[in-house]
Amino acid sequence: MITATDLTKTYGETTALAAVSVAWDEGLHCLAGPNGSGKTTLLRVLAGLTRHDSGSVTVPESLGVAFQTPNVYADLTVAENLDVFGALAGATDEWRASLVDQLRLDPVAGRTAGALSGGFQKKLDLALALLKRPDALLLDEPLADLDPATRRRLVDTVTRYSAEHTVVASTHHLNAFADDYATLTVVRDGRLLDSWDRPAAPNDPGSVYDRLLDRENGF
Amino acid sequence: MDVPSLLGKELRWGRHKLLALAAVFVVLPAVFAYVTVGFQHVLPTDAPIAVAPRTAAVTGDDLRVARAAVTVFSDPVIYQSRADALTALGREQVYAVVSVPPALADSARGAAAFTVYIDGSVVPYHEPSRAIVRLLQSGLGTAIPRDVTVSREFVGTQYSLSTYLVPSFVVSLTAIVALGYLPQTFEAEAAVLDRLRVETSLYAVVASKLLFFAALLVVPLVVFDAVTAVIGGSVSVLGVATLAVVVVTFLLLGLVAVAIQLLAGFGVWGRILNLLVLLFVLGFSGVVYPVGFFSPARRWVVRQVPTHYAVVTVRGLVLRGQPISTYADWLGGLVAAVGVAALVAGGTIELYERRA
Repeated sequence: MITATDLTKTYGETTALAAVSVAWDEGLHCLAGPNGSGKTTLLRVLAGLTRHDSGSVTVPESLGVAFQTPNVYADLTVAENLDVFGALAGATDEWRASLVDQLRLDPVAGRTAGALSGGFQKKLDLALALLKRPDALLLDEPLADLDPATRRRLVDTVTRYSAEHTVVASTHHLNAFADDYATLTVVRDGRLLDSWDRPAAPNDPGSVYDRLLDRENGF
Repeated sequence: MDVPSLLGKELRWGRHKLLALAAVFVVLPAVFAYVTVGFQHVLPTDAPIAVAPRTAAVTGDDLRVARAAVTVFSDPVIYQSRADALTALGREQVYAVVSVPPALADSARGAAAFTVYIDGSVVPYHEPSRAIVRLLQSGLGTAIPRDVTVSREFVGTQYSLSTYLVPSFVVSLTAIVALGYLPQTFEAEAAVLDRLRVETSLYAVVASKLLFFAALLVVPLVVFDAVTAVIGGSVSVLGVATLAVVVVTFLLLGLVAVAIQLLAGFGVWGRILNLLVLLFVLGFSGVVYPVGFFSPARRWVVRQVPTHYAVVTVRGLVLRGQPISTYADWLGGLVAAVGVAALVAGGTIELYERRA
């Protein structure tokens, strides 16, 4: 369970989060909003990477994060990255092998991470985030710049994991999660614009999201 | 032509990087020039020299007369025993010990025999000490009503200049690793720092990096001794005491480097500042020339720099074969400095976390 109440964060004159409150339980929760709307700041505050000015946050002790720009050791091989973070996470060999299999990382296990394509780096980043089997998983733009096949593979992995854990994904590719998401939350200018629970949520979240933003922009 | 257009781009880029360019192209050369010019003054004129009694019969007047004679070419300090003066010589607090015979004013006695003790390990002082003996001979000859003989004696092994530079190499390498290589590898962590902060903590990252490189510093000492053994050198750098000083010095400088990088947000300023600190450490620790060769102002500065004491201690351990207990107070000071640096680095970690 992830909860945040009246979260506020400012950077100088810029308000990145303005009294944002959320409550996310088990399942997949999509977080949408235009660039600069505060999605990444919200995820960073939840992950404890950025300190908020006011409000409160409750997150599980075991938290995994997959970043918009993959956080991997570029000079180490894929296997070595998994070794390093697996040791930190206390990952079992079985779980690690399962992740490598789910994300099809075996063919590149011996290659240095810096030499991989963006898609493989994203998959490795997700694998590193999942190594400790976190109770909650935060994903910042997990599908950005991915080809359809890689996108499908990541969505499958994330969806499977969300069956028993809390997963929050900030994304512009809402339709990729259309069949699986539990809630959809839209932020803009650091404020919560709207949110839906699954029963009432649109089947075509991408178009709803577009209409919502059009309305906000006065179109 | 593409080149003029691209040169225009470089000029525009330079306008945005004026401070960094000034640091690299103005401040660095200025520091380098100052340090280099400082090294040109190799004949010390006011180096500290001990004036000590040879026997218990030497009076305060005898010591004062001798001190007056050496004042013109040194900064004399009276010690009440020769043993204390020789300890100060081994700690490079003085660069010569003038051993004074008794009854200098008693013209009925024969020639007054003075001895100037020079440490064999402080090679840059070997040549100046010849001049000091001559000056002392003439100065004392006119100051007392007795004939004067002045002899020069080396304490410990008399080394060559190349051997003298061995401890300089050890400390310089430590400083280069701490302020040059360590920051570079720490910067490489920046790309994965958010994940590390989620999975562990910045404290653990910094600690592991410092421990790794501290352990690695034993390698060059082993290599040096191995090569020396093969070619038949006369000194050994590998020893528990030397390693302890090297590790403590590395931790001190490494913590400073890490603090600078965190304050600079792993940017270009961090690299430049660390380079400036490295130059400062190399220029103001008496790594090559003993501190007594410098001007009084620069000497004062050097004596405030913790790494100066590391240099003298390593010279004492490696070249003079002295026990670590001779330098226990300095080693304690270095450890205290590491403690302060750790607190500062901890503060910068907290600041980095707040800014992130």
